[in-house]
Amino acid sequence: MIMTKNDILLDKTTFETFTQEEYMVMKSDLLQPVQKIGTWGKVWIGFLITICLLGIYAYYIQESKSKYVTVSLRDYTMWGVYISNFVFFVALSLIGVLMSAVLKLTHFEWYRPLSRIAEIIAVAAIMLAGVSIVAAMGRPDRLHFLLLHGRIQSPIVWDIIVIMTYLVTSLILLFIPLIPSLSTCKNHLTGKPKWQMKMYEILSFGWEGTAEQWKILKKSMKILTVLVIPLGVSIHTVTAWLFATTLRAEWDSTNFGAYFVSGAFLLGVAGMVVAVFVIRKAYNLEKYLTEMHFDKLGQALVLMSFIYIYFNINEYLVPAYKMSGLHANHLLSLFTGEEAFFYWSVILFGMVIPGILPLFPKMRKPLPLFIITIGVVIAAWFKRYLIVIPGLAHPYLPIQDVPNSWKHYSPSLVEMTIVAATFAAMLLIVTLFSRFFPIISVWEVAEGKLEGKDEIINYK
Amino acid sequence: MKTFKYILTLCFGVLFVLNIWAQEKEATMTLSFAKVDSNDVCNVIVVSEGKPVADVTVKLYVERLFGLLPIGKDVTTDEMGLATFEFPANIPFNSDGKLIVFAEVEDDENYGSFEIKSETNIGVKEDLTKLEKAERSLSGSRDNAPIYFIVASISIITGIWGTLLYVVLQIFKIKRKKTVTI
Repeated sequence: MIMTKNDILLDKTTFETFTQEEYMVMKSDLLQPVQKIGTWGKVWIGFLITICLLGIYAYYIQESKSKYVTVSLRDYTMWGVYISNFVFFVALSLIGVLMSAVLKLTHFEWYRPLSRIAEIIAVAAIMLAGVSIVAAMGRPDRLHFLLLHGRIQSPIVWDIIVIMTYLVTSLILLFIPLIPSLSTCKNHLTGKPKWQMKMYEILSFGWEGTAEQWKILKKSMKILTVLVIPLGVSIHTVTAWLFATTLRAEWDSTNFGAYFVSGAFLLGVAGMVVAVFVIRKAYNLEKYLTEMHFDKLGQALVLMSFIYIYFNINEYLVPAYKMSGLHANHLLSLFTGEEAFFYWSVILFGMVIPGILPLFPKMRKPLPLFIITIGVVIAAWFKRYLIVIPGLAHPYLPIQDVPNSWKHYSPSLVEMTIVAATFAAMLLIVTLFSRFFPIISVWEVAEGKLEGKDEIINYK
Repeated sequence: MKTFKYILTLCFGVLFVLNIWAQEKEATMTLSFAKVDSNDVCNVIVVSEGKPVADVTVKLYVERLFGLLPIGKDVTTDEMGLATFEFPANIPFNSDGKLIVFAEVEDDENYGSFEIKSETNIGVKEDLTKLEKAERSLSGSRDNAPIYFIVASISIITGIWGTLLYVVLQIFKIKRKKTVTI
């Protein structure tokens, strides 16, 4: 049903509880990062592009020379940092599920300024997860063979399907709430190049903020918000199955899906704190990304840490109690052997500290929480490393009669450059996005200010 | 002193001649296939300077995907320079219907190392289907996926992508609904 202008004007109770002036201040605050890019902003973008180019060059070397020369992957450790990086990015991509969809559906109103930040990180992370997989492939030119000749029963085929689906869903979920913001950009940004204004014009899909348009927008968002939760859980569960269905003692676990998803949620909260802290400082958005957000995220961090600790106890302590022959080699190398330093650092910085320190309100202030979560993000990367590499290095059949270099894995310079480039590319995507589109959804924040009374259909 | 010079020159001369004589001689091989009593055999003939070479140990291999597969035991050439190998008929040939066969002499004291490569049509086409499970199962081939699995997969994929398509169509609907403005 199309509402006429009179219908809407008669229905005055559905309108604003804060003034047009307040809305204009909010709009100019939130459009300010798009309006002007400072010198440091340009230096940052230049730096990220340089790292990305180095990564492209490293990939060129890898593909043009023999992989035997350029990477340290061998018969036993055939998955190295590329795959642990892939798992890390897939985990990070669940940030969109947790910080946008779950909070939105459970009516935690503080999600509003965070949702777009979470969604763009999710989109960037899942893209770079795909890039990491291609970097790991021996024959990337045969990628399409997975669809042409793959078995539908294979977790690898499902991984490709679910990654594609999640990427498309996340992109649409990012785009739909962006439509009113694009209209805002079109109407309020000045001094921008013609092509940029044209882009806002085309992508805003003729948005005029009519009641019907709002209805469609809200409905579509609701459908996608519900859809993205099982998809997000699936994507990381299928990734876990890639490991759980491969013959290695460490991965022989029925717990793996839940273990991976719980780890992803912890990383999601930590990644969110880091992103919110940096965006808040860089774009002076203290008014919108408040200490309350850090307080809430700190509490979420504690909860997620304890859930993850629970799954880690299941994964490590139960097999360690039995110490059966197959597990013993691997577990002892983690607990007291060559990986012990990494392992205990990950437990400490990735689970214990974020589980305990934010219990104290002082530690939930922006800076302390930022420092704690930086530790969690680094530990999360090494956690994936510890899942992938020592697991591979301890196969069921003993390693015999092979060169010594096959028994141990340490990533080559080419591998590390490509991994660094994937990180730079992720940050570049988020940075560029925040320079062309409002990183905080103007209308969603404004709607929150209405205290849930109704929509802001008369603001453009 | 002069005598020593002559002796020294003579010694060097003798050593030079001995050295030339002791040089490894060049030898070559030819490789051919024949049928003997309905069995396949591979004949390797080693010749040097046009003459057959006896007492040279020859090894025979077939090229596989990741290395060389030895065929039978090493055979030493007879006075005719001939080494005969029984060639099995059941080796799976390559996708082009050919086998690549190598004969090799390794570190012979007189002739050093040398090899020859040849092709043959002997062999069988590998029936890969026998490796596959006949019944439908999760570990079956692409064509033997369980029916319930295919149905469930297609339903899930269609359901999700159908929803996505519906949402995308809704976005275009936004454009059409811009008639009423406030």
